[in-house]
Amino acid sequence: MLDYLKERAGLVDMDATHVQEILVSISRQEENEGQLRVRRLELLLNTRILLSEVKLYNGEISASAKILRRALEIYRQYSEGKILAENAQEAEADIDIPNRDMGRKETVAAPAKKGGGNTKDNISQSVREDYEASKPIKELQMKEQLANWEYRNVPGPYFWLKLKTLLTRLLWDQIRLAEVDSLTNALENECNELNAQGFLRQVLCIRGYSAVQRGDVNGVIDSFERARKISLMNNYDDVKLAEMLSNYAVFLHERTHDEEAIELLKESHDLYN
Amino acid sequence: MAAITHLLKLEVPAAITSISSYSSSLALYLKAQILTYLCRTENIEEPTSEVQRAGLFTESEKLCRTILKNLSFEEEITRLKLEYGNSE
Repeated sequence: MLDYLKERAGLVDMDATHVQEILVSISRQEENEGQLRVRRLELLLNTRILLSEVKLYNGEISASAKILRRALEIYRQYSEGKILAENAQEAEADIDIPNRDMGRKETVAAPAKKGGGNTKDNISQSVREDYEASKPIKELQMKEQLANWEYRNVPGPYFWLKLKTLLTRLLWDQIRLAEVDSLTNALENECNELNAQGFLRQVLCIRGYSAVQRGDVNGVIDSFERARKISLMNNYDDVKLAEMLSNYAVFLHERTHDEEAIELLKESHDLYN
Repeated sequence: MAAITHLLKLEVPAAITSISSYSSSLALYLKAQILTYLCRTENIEEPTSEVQRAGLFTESEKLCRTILKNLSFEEEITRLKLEYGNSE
């Protein structure tokens, strides 16, 4: 750290007391710059969320989804260090650019080759060897990236979850169920990794609604019950829970489980009060 | 509607603008957010017409675009400052 700061300050021969003061001042300045950068990027993301809301209330759902996709893409690029600063002209114009299908790339499995297990084994062996060979390089790249303050000072991962959850909800509004399913699967893993129970509940609710559209009865019950359990465990007794419970009650009523539906509605009613 | 009209007339004070681009952007963001919230909320006594509502959403969108432009510009400037500092 000291070497790095000395190099940064360009100090060669100076009085020891002055060096210390300057080093402290530089490290403080860098900390402040880092905090400011995080706040700036957070405000940029929040503005994009607000803009997507405005578009949504104006009835432009596609434009709203496009803005959220753009925000996700920018967040990813910042965190990977691919961009260090947005172009001011682009930032203003990106709202009107045609949809580039960002984030919609679905991973297509390579077609399986016919002709015995040997070929398959050879392929998996070569893939494993490639991975082992590239492992140290990847670790080195990661260490290099983490050494630079630009890469460390980005908004926290909860922003990522927030953006992705909003996008998933929006896609569900458009009944794009295939995309919703792939996003909810990815989000569930990310929420579990970060132990973000609040977001996990929202994701499970969206998955439940998606399962209703698909007619997957087990999926609906599983999702809603898990979401309900998370809410009870973490005391998330809010309007969102009430909304979910009433929707769940309607679903059960349609399946002639009236007693359970009435219980859920009572619970939901209590929450609204 | 009176609240919206009052809000539209409000300008970001020069004292805030002079601190930094971030502070003025934050002030604009809050204004845009309140404006959007007021448009969404139905006022039974004094309902907002569809035309008025569309105009207010456009105003809010304009504010958001200004914030995006200002903040990314500030980000670019900071980046350049840091690069200049490093080369020095």
